Amino acid sequence: MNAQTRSALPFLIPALLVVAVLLAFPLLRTLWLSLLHFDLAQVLGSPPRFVGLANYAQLARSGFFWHVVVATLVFALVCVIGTLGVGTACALALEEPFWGRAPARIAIVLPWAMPAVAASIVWKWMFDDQHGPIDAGLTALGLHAFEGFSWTSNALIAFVAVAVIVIWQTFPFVTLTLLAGFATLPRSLYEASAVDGVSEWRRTFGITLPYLRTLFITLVVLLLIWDVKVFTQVYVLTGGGPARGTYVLGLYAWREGFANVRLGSAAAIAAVMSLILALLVALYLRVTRGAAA
Amino acid sequence: MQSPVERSYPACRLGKQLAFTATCLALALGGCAKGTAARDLSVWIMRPGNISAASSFFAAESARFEHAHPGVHVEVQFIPWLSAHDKLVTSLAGDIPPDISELGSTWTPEFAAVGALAQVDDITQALGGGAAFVAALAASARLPDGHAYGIPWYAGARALLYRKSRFARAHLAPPRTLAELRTAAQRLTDHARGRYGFALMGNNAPLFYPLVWENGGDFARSRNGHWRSTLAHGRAAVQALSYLDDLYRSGVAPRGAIAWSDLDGRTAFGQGTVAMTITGSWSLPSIYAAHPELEGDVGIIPYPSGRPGGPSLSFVGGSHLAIFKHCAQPALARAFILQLLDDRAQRAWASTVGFFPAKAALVRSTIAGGTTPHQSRTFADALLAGRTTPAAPGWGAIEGALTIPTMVQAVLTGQATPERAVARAAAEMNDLLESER
Repeated sequence: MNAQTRSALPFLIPALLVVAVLLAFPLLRTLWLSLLHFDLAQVLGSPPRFVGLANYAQLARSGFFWHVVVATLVFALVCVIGTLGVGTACALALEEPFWGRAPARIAIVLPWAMPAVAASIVWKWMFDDQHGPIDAGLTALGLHAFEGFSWTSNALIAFVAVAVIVIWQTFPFVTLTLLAGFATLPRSLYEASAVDGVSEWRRTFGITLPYLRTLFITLVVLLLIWDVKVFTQVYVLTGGGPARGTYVLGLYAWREGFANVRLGSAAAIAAVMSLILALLVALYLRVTRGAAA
Repeated sequence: MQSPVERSYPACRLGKQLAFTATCLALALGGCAKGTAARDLSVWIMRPGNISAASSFFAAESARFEHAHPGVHVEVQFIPWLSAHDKLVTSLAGDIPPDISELGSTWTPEFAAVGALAQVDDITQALGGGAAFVAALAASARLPDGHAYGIPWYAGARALLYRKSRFARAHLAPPRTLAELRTAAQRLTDHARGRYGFALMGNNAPLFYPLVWENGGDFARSRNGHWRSTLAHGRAAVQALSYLDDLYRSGVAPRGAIAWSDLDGRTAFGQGTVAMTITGSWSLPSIYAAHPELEGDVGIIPYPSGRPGGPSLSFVGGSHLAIFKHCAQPALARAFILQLLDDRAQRAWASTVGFFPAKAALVRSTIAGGTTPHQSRTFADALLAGRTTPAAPGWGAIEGALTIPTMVQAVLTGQATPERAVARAAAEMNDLLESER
């Protein structure tokens, strides 16, 4: 330990303690719980039984668990692509001067600011097959297949509906981040391209978006982390149904832990989820360091 | 240089601060260690729809009890049904459960099996024994060890609600059998007008239970205290699922009904989307409150039976009052439960929540006369003749895992054949029954 580290240590200790209490303890406690048989009886005071990796082995043997892992990752990927697409399109539109741009920039924050539960309840009503405005609107547009169309009676379609809610709530973050990114772009490049007669289209795809590559990578990884953790929107819209078709890892862990009171198994699911997230964070750090270099 | 007075002042202040902090900590820790005084009685009640009437009822009952037991304070908390199980588990884990709690009738075996509840055989005997109560509720209060761990408090059974005007326009008689239900539902369905015959709720296990019983099946049996699923024995569950699947495919319910719960079915019935639904007496007040025009247009008939003239087998649910082992004042808790179970309080509470009293004699007297609109004869008959789910400690976990609705939805979505869905559900039930043993 060099002199600099030694002198820094006393200043770091309070922060390290806070991190240890807020982060390390719950994480280590979850990992320990995942190695135990811990059901309702143990909650009530019976001694927990150490079962080693049995909870993990049970998950590994369960076809349903792997189905949920794949469903969660695919769902997250689709949401990331959708959020980036909508968010970028809105950012590009809001970068152009037009009447009402200032209020539009403020209004776009609203979905992001809305509590996820409240937004999901509103969307649940909008997706209602009997009285929801989405079916009514699509039918009015001539798409008669959507008359009384049920968004929650088929797992794939229900996932689409959940993805719509997630994208709607998250795209303002992408838009605002990109608008901040646009402000950092060197004006001289645009002036030079304008002198050279470069089209708007080529300017966007040749200068603007490539220049913000690092920002995009950061956004992709952050969105991926958020979307892998999705819970609220699925819980409110489908509750995991029909026939557990829309289970994601967060919902699975919650149901095991709090509905079935199988905390060992729930902790194992949470640990696997943490591992997936840790890999994504590692990827993020690697990519951002590479980009910075 | 500081004077002795100046030097001693900060020390004196520090001492005072330490003493103040220590006093606060002692008070706080004292408060944590014991949330209520020794003569307090904490009671958790599931929050009913009519909360103001429920609050008035308990204010009066608490005052009556406190008057009879000077120095005692009864503290009643209303807990939402949906989070009640979690809250009970959390309170037990934290060693701070209430003294008395209302429990869903399927939770009592679960909490009793892990040793959280006190035996209440003496209260049951004082009230006339298990036979004095609605049979299905008394059965779920008793564990295979022969002891009672909950006192049946109120009960409810399901029946079929139908729109009289729609049946009259279609010149249809209310369905008495499952075959008639199918025919009537088809006749009353008009896709062009967005009207359907029947609320086939995919996320509502009580709709499914009677179909299995009708076909001679059941869900689980105990041998030497060892519970095993009997769902896959015989063809009863497969036939029940096939009936529902056939009904769903005939288009008599909206496609989205696959995800419907009892509340969704009741809402669709009130709004006129469906002409028939299966629900309990407690739903009627909220249906009439939202749609006063339906007063007089709602017919109530028994859950249709499998064959002409056959019995109607409705699922009987309800709740128990239980005393937790942690209770420091078991004698007071027993006295309060006995007060809540006297005939006058039973009638008043049942009328408040829209259910029936759990005492069979009171249900019979309701049948004999003087019924309120939601306590109609049909619901009372269904209650006395109905059945309930097995009193297995693991049944609460099966409910929590939504095993039965998942099986029904797997068939309705076409993910599994009835045979495959039943086999999967039976395996899951065995797993849950085993882990909760």
